[in-house]
Amino acid sequence: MSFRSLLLIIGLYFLSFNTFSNDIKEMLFSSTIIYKPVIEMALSNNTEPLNRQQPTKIAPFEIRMVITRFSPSGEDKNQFDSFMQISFKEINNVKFQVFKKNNLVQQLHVVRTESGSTSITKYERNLNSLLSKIPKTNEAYIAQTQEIIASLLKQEDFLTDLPLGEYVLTFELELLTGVFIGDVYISDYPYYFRFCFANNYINIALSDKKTKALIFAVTFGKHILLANLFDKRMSNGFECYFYSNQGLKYLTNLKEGEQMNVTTWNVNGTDEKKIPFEEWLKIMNKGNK
Amino acid sequence: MYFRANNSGPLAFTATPTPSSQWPTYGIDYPTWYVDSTKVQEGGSSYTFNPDGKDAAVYTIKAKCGTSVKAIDVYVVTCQYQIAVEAPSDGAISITWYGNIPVAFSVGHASWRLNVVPSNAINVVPLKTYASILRKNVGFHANSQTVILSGETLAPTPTLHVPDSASGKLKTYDISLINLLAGAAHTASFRASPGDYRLGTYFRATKFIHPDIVTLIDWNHTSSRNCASTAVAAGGACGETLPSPYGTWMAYIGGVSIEYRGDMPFTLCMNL
Repeated sequence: MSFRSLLLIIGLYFLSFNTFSNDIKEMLFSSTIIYKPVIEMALSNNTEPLNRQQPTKIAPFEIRMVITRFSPSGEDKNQFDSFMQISFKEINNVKFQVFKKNNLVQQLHVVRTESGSTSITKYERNLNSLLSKIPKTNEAYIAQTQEIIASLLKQEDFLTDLPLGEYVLTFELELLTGVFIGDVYISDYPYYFRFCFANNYINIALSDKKTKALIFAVTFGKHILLANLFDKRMSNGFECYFYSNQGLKYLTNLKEGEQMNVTTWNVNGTDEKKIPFEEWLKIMNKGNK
Repeated sequence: MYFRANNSGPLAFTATPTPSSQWPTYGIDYPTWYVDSTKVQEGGSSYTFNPDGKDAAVYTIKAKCGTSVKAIDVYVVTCQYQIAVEAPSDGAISITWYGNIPVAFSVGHASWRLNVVPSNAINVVPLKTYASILRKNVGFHANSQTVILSGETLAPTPTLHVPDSASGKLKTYDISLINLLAGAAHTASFRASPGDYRLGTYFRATKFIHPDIVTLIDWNHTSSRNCASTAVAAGGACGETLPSPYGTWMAYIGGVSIEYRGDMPFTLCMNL
């Protein structure tokens, strides 16, 4: 891998992680970390120079992912309630230790072995930090924002919800200078994962393999911009938009296939209003040119 | 008349007495040199004007001898490539609705401007050749498939793109005069023959109407060639390497599922 490629990879992930003083990095989404070694491998195997305009399309390739249990230390055993290890057979120097609590990944340890020595990079999810900029004027609003974000994070953690075993992941990658795009198909899994990791924003999505229906998508830059999550029947779910302080701006629910009224808030999380879906579309139109 | 690009070296001017080969001497040294109305040198056939550190403006260099004056205008110019990128603030694509039916999709817009200061420099050689496109916002538009300059009226009115105003995220690159001329030549050629407009490589819009998925748009192209692509290419012609405008974007907007891949203002805006 060229030095330039390494720099790009490093630049890519600064979005998600800020270093804590105790050497635990902050994590928002887990897939960006878990797929990182695969992108690094693709970059190191790629012989074409990357371009800023035309993507370099990498021929589809397979990676075998293995999910096993692992035994945590005594302290971790008390702090979390579920533990698993993810590794790729084709990338034998990296494995991921996943620490979950309440069905949500709380910590992710990247264990990397190089030249006989092992290093561990620890990532932690901190919802309080993510929500710290929201004015503390409406506890119910903060709780609802937190619930929505937690449900998005939980869906994005889908790899860690797979049963223990071995899976074949098929990657279709497009690489450009500063932008990495991929479709990932997982054996025996009904959805395919799509991502766009750019320097300053990330867009990730899950779609149904058969219907191509998008059941989950998140766009985030410095904060989550917008997101949606639906059930597999596409009958229930939500579409939501956020302010730059990460508080909810609009939330529109789908219940049993019926579009509900849209809830809106001001930037302080107050002045909650329910407006008909059609009215909301008109509001959205105002920003259109 | 001379143009000097940024950071260029000094300019030497020489005045020659005529008809005699000698400057007259009447108690003062001739010629007397002025820059505009400021006397800068007394005596000496040559004067060196250094544009470095000078504001972009027209400077008139004068050699005076008695009542005789010879003057030459020196244009110290600042040359810039500017890109303005406007992307929907909530995401990459916004939708214009007729009731709850989507009638148009906006991916935002990117435009560029080849800027020259002072403004009157575009009326003299060599910039005169490109006077019609310099200091104007330039953008490639979907509906008309034309390259529009600021102030021009579009026919038909664009629904996919905003007019070429320098709004949104603006970034300025200082460039040399040589590169400005290269960018101007590129822009002029592009305006004369814009070629085909292609929004993105993949665009799929669907709406779930229980229990079916209704496809509104579904098409593929081998490559993008839109406002973002062409604005970045113009920057390239000016010798500047801009961030990639290529990306993907997937989300529901107002109940419509959008999957897009290709060059787009949103990626460019986020990476500028």
